[in-house]
Amino acid sequence: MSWKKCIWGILLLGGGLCAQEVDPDLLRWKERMDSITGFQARVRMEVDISFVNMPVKYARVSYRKGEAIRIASEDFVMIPKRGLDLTLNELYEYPFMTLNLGKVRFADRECEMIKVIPTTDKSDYSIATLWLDTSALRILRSQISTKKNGVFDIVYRYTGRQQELPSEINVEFAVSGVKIPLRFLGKDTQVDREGMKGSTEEKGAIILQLEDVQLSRIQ
Amino acid sequence: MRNLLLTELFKIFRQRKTYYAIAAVFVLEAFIMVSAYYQGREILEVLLENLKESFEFRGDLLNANLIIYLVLNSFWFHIPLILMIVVSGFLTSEYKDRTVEAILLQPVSKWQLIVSKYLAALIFTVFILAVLVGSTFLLSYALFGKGDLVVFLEGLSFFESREALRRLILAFLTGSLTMVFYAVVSLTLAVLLQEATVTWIVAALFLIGTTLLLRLDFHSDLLNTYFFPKLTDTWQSLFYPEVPNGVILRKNAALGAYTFLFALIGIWVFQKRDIK
Repeated sequence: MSWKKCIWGILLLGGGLCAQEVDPDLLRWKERMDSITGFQARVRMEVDISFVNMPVKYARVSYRKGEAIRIASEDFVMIPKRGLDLTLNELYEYPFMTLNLGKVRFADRECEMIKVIPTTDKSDYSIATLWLDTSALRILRSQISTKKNGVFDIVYRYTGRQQELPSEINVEFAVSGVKIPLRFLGKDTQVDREGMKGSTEEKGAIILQLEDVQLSRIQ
Repeated sequence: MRNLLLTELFKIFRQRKTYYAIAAVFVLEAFIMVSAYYQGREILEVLLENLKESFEFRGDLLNANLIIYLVLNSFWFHIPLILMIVVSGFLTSEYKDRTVEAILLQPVSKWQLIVSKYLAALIFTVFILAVLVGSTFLLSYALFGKGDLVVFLEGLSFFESREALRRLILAFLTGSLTMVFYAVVSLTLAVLLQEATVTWIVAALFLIGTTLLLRLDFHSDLLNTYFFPKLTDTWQSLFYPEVPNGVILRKNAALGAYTFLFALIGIWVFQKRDIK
């Protein structure tokens, strides 16, 4: 038994909470998302990082069930490592267990707060928290702690009541400030890699807006 | 006056050192392109390292606009140094060969001669810069293709290809004023010092001093804005996310005034001094 399982076991016993293999509400949501066989959309990307000045960028995103998301753009674009996996395939790629932490309010909606814990070491994330709107059957927020890329806090906004896919995704993450040389390709080019790594972390965000969404689902 | 100017230009383009200057510009350009090709990706990688954790990048930042920007950075030292050495030689070589005396034996006034030298220096500078800009844009776009420009100036700024091209052209135009300033200063130094080697050394020291003073804080807004070393980097302002157009125009006007002042000093000294 891994140390993670031990800790969660102690928590469950102590807290009187009920651990499940997979939360039924999450399963219902997963079934709904599984009905999506693919989608195409235009993504508007707006980077919000204090030391980055980047104009709004556009890209085409396409997804086919069972394949990785494809992103194409004529310009240079920065694509967040989490946030565009709208079906959250990553979470259930490997075996996992869930823990329902009960009802919470988020964005004026009542949600179930569900922890997703992978049960193997193969997954790229160590734990994820989902805010699931059980009445609309939509994820409103996810917080994914990755093993290599830090924590991604993702908020999903929807326009229509029946919409499966969000129209706006706000991805927040921690980012280290870059020591910027006055000019480069000269003596000032020397960038202290260690110094960069040690510099203070700050919050960064990218706001993704999905436009012209074309969804295909199992009939 | 027109004939004098044409004669000066004829002499410039008959001199071997003019072609050395053009060759030096091409060598510099080639060096920047080759080093950018081999090291550019590594530099970009280092500077984007902290964003790599959260982002994947699509598109190539090692493109023509970045190469042109790197060539533009030779305006800090290399191009002014080449210009100062060559332009000062327009007069020092004539002092050395004693051709100044021969010219002044003709029905030519001293001020006409020196003004034609300044005008020839101006035309030569513009010509060298045109060669640099033309070849840089042509070669860069042919070899590296277009793309977004990333600049590291008080933050990491990205410009879309079209916007980058517009800013690069404006930066080259603004930087040209700085190059003209250095060319005029070197000719004035040639008037004052007359001897070639001494003029080159002082011109190089002037360039180094200006570069050092550029970074110095004078604790005075007036000096920090309008003292001439502080005006030599105005072209860099074109790469701020919000271009301070008013500041750029005022600084360019001030640099133009300094250029005119240095030329006037040279003309006045040449006019007053006896030719030995």
